[in-house]
Amino acid sequence: MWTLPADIFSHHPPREETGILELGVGISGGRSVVKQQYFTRALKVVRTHYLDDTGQAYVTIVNPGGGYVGGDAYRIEVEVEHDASLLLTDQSAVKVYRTPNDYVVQNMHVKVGDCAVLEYIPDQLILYRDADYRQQITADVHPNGSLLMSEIITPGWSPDGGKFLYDQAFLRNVVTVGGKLEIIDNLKLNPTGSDFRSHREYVMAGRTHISTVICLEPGLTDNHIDQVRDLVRSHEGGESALWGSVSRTNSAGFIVRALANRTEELMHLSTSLANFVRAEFRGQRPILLRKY
Amino acid sequence: MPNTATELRTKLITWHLTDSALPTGSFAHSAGMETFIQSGQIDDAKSYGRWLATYLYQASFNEALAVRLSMDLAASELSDTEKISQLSQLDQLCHASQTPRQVRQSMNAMGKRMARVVAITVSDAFLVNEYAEGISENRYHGNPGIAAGLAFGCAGVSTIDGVHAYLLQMANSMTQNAIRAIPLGQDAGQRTLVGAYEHIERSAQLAMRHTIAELGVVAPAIEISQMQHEGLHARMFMS
Repeated sequence: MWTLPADIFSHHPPREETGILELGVGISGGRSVVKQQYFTRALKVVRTHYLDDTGQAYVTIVNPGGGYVGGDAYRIEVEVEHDASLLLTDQSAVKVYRTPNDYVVQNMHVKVGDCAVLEYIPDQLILYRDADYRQQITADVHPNGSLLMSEIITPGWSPDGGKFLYDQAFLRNVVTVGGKLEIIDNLKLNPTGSDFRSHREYVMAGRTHISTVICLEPGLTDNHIDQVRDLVRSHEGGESALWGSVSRTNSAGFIVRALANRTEELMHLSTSLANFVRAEFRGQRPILLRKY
Repeated sequence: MPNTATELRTKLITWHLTDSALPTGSFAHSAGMETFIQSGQIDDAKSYGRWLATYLYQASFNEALAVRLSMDLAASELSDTEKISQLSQLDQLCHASQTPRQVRQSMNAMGKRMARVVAITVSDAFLVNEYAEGISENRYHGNPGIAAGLAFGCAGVSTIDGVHAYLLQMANSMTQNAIRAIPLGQDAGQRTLVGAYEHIERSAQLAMRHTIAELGVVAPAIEISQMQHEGLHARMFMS
């Protein structure tokens, strides 16, 4: 009875994907390497980099098309095998342009193996006026695996200077740990809808940007949650009026939600959270992405 | 063909199970409202009324939707075994979609009590008893919307009546909490409740329309306040 309708996170009937990316990372010669990759059309990856001496693979997704338009469908599959570690980002913000009478879907499935690490920290998602974007990420994490994924939704400016005019951002994350359903994180924002507008005070607290960080980390304790709570507090306020908080997930992990009026401060919060987890659990240095 | 006696019983069950004084422990849970009371954002009937409106809107994706979906389940033609399997999945979906820890705990606590009361009230219904027993045996997490929905469904309440009654109970219980915590006068509380009628109506419309894909959709500002509630130093409420 509880299967998803066919026309929410896919087109009905389904369309041929605008872009497909399949990526498998495993251990070889003492470091993490891309063992398997397939991409076609509007998605590709650039050569693996190594940013530190831990052997973690750093892979960047590129969207040669430059942006998403109505009717587009993207599919991304990422597997990190046992003991391997992957930092996955994209080259620049995904931009979703207006999608009149149509919508964009992106479906991503990630699998994190025994003692494997996946950090997925894409740039912000920019939704322009009238854009309708639906994304579902399903993550299947081994009980000893580590996952950290972030998302920032930014409203794009419209030519007439209006802001926060996208039609829909529907982002659903489903996380299972050892096959057991642990987290459904469901965001559905319709800034131009009448319900949304009348409830803006307690939906967006008057802000325009939103971020989410989901972390699953075996060994994470309530003491770590207190530290993350302090970390989020230290990012609150400022020019972008950042406001957010954290809570512990069912299994060892946390989810952080934050609202603000600018992307930069939310991105800073996301990387700070990733850096806290790296330092605390893996003794790994902070993330220094080469793209900036 | 329902006769007058069963129709009356159906109504009595609806009123009984959606009385704000039902012993489910709702007086102990503010669903994050206390965070806004402490910050000063909610300090009178007007500001409480705005919060209540969004709390009810958010319920259309959560508890009110759980009521509707479990009523759909109770009314389905599935075999008993299949119903149990679907009930188990729905219980897991509801539990997993509550991101703030205190909300999960409050839903589980109130779900357990609601299931117990419901099993006394609609004692001859298989699904109702299964849910109550299953919660006490830790086979289910517990959700008050599911417990109430199963009872309504098994007692022959119409879906829209069940959803409306449940939303009114949510508004009523929370307003009692607001009267104590803000505090508000009793009359001001009742006026706010009347002002919430239109939001109950809208939330019910939405809950009837939402699909399983919308289950657990959050109102982020309310969600953040529910997460921040864990960090408040002095608390009247458990959530």
